[in-house]
Amino acid sequence: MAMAEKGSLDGLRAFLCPSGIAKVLILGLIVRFAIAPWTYCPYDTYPFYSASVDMLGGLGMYGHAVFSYPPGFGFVMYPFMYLLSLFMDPSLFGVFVPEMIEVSAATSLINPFITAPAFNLALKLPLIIGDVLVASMLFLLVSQWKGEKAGRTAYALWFLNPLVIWISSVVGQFDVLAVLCTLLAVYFFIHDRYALAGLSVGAGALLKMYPAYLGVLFATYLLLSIGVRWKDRLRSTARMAAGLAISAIPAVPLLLTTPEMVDFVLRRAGADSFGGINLWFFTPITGNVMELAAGGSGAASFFQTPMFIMLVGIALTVAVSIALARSGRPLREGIITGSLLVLVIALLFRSVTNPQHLLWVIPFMIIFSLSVTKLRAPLFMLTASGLLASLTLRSFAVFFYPMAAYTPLTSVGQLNSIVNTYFSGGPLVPSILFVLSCLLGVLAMLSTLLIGSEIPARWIRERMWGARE
Amino acid sequence: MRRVLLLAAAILLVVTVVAVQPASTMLAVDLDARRNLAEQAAIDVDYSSGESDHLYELIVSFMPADMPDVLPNIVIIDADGVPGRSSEINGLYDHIAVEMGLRGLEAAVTIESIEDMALPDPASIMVIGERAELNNETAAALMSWVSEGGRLICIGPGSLPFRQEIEDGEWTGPEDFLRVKYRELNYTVDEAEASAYAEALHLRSQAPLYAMEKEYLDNISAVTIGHLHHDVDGDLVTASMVPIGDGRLVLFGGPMTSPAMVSGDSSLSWDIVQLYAGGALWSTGPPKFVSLPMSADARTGNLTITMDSVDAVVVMAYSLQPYVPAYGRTVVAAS
Repeated sequence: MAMAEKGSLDGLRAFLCPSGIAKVLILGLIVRFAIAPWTYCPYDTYPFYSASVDMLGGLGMYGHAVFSYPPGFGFVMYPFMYLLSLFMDPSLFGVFVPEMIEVSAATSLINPFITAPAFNLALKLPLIIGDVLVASMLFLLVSQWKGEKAGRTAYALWFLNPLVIWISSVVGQFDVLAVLCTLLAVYFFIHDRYALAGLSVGAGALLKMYPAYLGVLFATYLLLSIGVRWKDRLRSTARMAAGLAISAIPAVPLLLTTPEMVDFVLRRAGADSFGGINLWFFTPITGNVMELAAGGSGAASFFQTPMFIMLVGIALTVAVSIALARSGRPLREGIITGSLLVLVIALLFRSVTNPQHLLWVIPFMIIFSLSVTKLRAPLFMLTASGLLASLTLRSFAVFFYPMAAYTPLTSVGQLNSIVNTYFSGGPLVPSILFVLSCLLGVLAMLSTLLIGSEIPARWIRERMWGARE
Repeated sequence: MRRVLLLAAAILLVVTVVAVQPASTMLAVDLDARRNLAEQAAIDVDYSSGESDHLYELIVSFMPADMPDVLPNIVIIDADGVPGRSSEINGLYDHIAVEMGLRGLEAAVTIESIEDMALPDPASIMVIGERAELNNETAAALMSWVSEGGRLICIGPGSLPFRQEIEDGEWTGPEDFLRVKYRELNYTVDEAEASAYAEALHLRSQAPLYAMEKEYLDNISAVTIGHLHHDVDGDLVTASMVPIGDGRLVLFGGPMTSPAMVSGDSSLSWDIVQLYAGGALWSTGPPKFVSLPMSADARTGNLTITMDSVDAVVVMAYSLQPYVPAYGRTVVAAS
């Protein structure tokens, strides 16, 4: 019994800190813990603050209709916020700063509210844990496939990736937790554990909706795979569906007590703006060309909605899934390639793609790049794009307001000056810089599609060689 | 070991799911308010509330008002004429409904499309939260509805249907329509001044993209209820109330935009519910307020405040910390 316990503990330790990566782990953790308390996202952190204090006040995470994500991150956040509230009253979690209203009005993307360092740390702690777990999952997936050396490379490429550190430890967005679920789903699917794969997809969708795209891929793969009896296909699909259903159970009580949460979550998905690191990257300069093209007519209006864009993305996802399921590729290669392609399509065909969304594809790009080194360049381009887009949207200064409010190192007034200077020439220069940053990411994703799919490359090759022959 | 970890994780999940369920809606503040026997304009209030889990600041506002016995329904107009609702209108609806629910107010909040708009009972509140293009006939009917006692709230330039427009420096449109001019607001914290209403009700919308020129509001006997911004080109007002016949028109600067905390749906919905529940939409004079310090303890006490008239007074208690939705309300009859 003691031996078994020791074995389990060793296994856990080996999973969390595989041999040969202790320095990477320690370095990554030092950087994260050094910056996490003193930084925040001046726009996105407020809904997390609101949900936290509402949960602690007994109002539920949707108490003031400010938090509009699926409930998963509320579940994750609550224990950390509860522990924090034992040491610090929620009235000290953050402070309204009238001095910031001016930059808020000038940029429209800054809430005049600064969260306390302890709150920032409590918010980001589960995200940092998520970073570690994703790195460990990458090591596990890659080392089983390509050996431990490749696994260590994957671990370092993730854990020391500047965009990953930025999103979890500076911005404080929780995409990494959904990323963890997608990697677990892929791992279980590859190992024929379909119920657990479904459970992971469902858990991911409770955090962010996007893992549902992988659900489409998996279901298509199971139903259309070559050389498997229909009875087995249906049985596997049923197992996955059962896992999905079980994952929804934690949300059921909230659905009963706060039925309006469905509205809050779905309306957010239907937000009527366009732009970011996707095919509409140019809108900050040109305006919404779809609206212009449609001329606001009722008949054309559906084609200018985020819903239509999403439906196009889902249709492409289904097409890619069918093509891969029928391609006869080995399962592991097919699923990893499929996950990469499907998630790139999901990013490109969103109405708004923010830097944190790029984390969805980065683990799969890392895995893929260990086999196809051509993908390294898009990986680095995408990382740079995410960082630059984050920094050029409102200037770097906006992330450091907690440092200004809670340390003597800088002041709110100094940061306001930097932001005002950045926007002093009007919105055009920041918009151009932002659009160029996003363009870099779009090019990275398009080249990923070309490299990953092989279809256009093969088609061009065949035409060229065919013409010469 | 693995089973123990799985069991612990499952227990943590169950406890968390149970703990995050909304368990309470409101911390009731009991208010017993009456006229001072010695001085009729003074109001004596005994207040008491239970213990809270967290610290909060309690405000008690006093609004002289001639208001109906029952708080009326609120109708939000989807006015942009485009299929589907804008996120701002949805957000306004969500936040107003939430604020009403947290205070236990039972009046209905609904959204109606401008095409289907039928003028409701004049006792109702109507909110136009975006640019509305109505023909002069419909706009005049809406103005008559206000004049008969309706309360119309318009947010942002273009949202007021019965307004005159400036063309080539001249006001154009029906003569009885209002002359209201909006101008871009360059917000600076030092130049902002809260009105008595904004202070008493802690109104939050203070930095709209466009605010109204005070010069023109003064010409229509408007009362500043938001913030006043001193500008070299003339003072600007973020929110104003205009008496029209038996009704009231409330004009907010706008349009609704980010950040929602100071110029968007969440701040405007807070302001609307404060004006509504606090009695400002029926006010007969400027309000007063008392601020009680941060505490999580049960509160019991009394206070006296002298008003400027012997009109009926709406006494409302509310919290500045949204996660402690302390609320109480009572009306003292006119002397």
